[in-house]
Amino acid sequence: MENKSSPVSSAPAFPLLLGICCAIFLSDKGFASYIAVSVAVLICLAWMLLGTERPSRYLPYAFAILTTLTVLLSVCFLARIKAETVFPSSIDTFGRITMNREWGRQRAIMIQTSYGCVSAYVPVNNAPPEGTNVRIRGAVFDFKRSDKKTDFDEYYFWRSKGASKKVVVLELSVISKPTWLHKWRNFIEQKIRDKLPERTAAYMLAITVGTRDKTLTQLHKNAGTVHLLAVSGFHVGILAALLGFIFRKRKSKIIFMSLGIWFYVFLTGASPGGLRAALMLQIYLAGLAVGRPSSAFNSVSMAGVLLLTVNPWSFYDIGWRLSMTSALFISAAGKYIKRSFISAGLLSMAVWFVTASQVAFYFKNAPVAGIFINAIAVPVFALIFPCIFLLSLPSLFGMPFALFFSNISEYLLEAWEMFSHLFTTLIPWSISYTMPLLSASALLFGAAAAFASDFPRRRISLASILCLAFVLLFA
Amino acid sequence: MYARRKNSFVFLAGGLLCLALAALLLHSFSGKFTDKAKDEEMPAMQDTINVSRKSMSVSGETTNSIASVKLDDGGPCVIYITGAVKKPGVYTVKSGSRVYMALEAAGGFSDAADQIAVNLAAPVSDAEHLHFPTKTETKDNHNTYVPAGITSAQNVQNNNVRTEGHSARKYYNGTLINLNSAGQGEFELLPGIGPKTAAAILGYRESSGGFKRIEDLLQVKGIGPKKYDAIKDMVTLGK
Repeated sequence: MENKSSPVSSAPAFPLLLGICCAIFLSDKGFASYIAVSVAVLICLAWMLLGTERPSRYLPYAFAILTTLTVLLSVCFLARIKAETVFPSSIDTFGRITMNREWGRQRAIMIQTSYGCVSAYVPVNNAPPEGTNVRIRGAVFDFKRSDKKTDFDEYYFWRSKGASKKVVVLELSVISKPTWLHKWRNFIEQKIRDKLPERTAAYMLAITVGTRDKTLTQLHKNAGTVHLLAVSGFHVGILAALLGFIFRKRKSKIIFMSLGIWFYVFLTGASPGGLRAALMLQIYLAGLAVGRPSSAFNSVSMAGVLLLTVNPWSFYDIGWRLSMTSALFISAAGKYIKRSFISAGLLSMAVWFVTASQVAFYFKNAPVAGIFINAIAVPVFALIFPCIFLLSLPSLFGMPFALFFSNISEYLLEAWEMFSHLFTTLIPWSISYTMPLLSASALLFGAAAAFASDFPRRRISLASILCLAFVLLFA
Repeated sequence: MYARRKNSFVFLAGGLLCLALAALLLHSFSGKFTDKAKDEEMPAMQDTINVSRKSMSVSGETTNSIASVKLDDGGPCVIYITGAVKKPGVYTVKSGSRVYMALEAAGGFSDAADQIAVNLAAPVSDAEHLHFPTKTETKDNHNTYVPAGITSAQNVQNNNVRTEGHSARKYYNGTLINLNSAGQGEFELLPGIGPKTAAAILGYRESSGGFKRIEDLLQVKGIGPKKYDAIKDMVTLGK
């Protein structure tokens, strides 16, 4: 009989993800690759053994497969991380703009060239939109490394986005305009900017093409709700629910949902959070299609492994880390929480504690108001986002009563901003990165992961403490 | 019941053993036996690929580049010779020829030529304009800067074979400004470089331990793409 009470049967992808993350982390800390991989395998094995109470016929095979996979993937990922792309010191080549985002007073662009992917900072009026084919002439430089681990590290930031070198642009000329998806993105962005009032446009840009407005981002940062503007499981989940509702009676529901989700994620710029959510949902839908639905926790873990397979540098992406931590925690804890608005609010508060240490580490502080605002913001925005989307359609398509509907949307968002502002005024404090905060995050996350991996009840606290010990060892 | 407890204990002990082993490994190898590659991490960048033509540094050392090797190994060089020579005009010389060969083709020095002011050993390349100065011209040029590590006489020699080819660099052939040894005054001779930018170049040189490639100029505050393009052919890294 198969043992159901084991991480191997309930969430086999999690020990794999845990092992791979350990290997990358330890390698970055200066350990030799073989030591990092050995420790990764031991951690993976430890998680599986600690979570198992009874033996079963297939357990040794499952252990062997997962251990082998951990070794193979860790070695492969570490080799890819250590392999540096060789560039000449100057380039004069053709490429395609794959990213264009705000960077202080400039724009940061990423260009896929025949040498590899490069990034560059250019003046606002000299930044071609995404998807544009360009000719670039420039000098190639290595990224700057930060001296302090809390400071912004240009190297890790751009490597996690896929760029290998930085180019100081001497000449940038457009060869051809964007096509297909990029053309659509640019068209939608322009349409939203032209047709919608400022506040609605800012939210619509965030949820449709993944472009974040500076003022709006700052507003949400102050409230600790900036995650609502980054396309993630929340947005993909809303879309999936809508698609599921629309195609509920069709047999091909899964196909329509899959297509809709992937189209949406790529339309919004394929952010790590969006990709993770799409992969997770895809795994879940594939499980449904074959009659073996996977657990949400396992799907998130598998999505994490797949994202690392595409780009192992994603491990250093703050977006990937926050997205994975929160999604793993939500999927683990959500399993035992009732489906109600109160539960969703409580879960949001718990997620704040799990991610607060990372937020405080990377962004210098985490607003305390976020604990309470998130409890309300998540369920409220699950309603607001579909509402403003529907209310914007008349303006975007030039339908009657467009102004009336867009005004309703503006009032809704303004009301939320006033409420959020009130909360941040009442609770103006924010906390910085401290050991107790990190310990709380590690304990909570460890317990939830052990819970979702079907650990025996009395070993959950042990797993939680061990998780804390490992985190504190390198903090 | 006993067997179940025993199994549970075995798994628990196995898990703890794995963790203990992991901790032992981390403790034993912390800070030791790191990857050699990591310790000796160097920027993964090829040597500078100089897409311009062959250049001569201040010290007279030739810096080969991929493009220039191809160019000079090719067919004959067509050059324009003017100044204090017997037969000025356009001449075709073999690839890899030196200035004295070009001079022979032009019939040798005229009476007014300043013969010691010319570096006859300098290489010639295609489409160059070689100007042989008269003694009067040499006197006028004595006021030009003297790059570090080069005597005044050498400077005069280098300066006076004007090779006004298709790039500004050729004007500076032999007297390129050495980024790693030049002084503030020399940097100020470059187009668009004032005292502030010259000081910034010196500051960058000190803080970064010297220029490793000409493109590093772009890291200097005050030097943007336009300025860089204007001066890149007038500077060298020297040794």
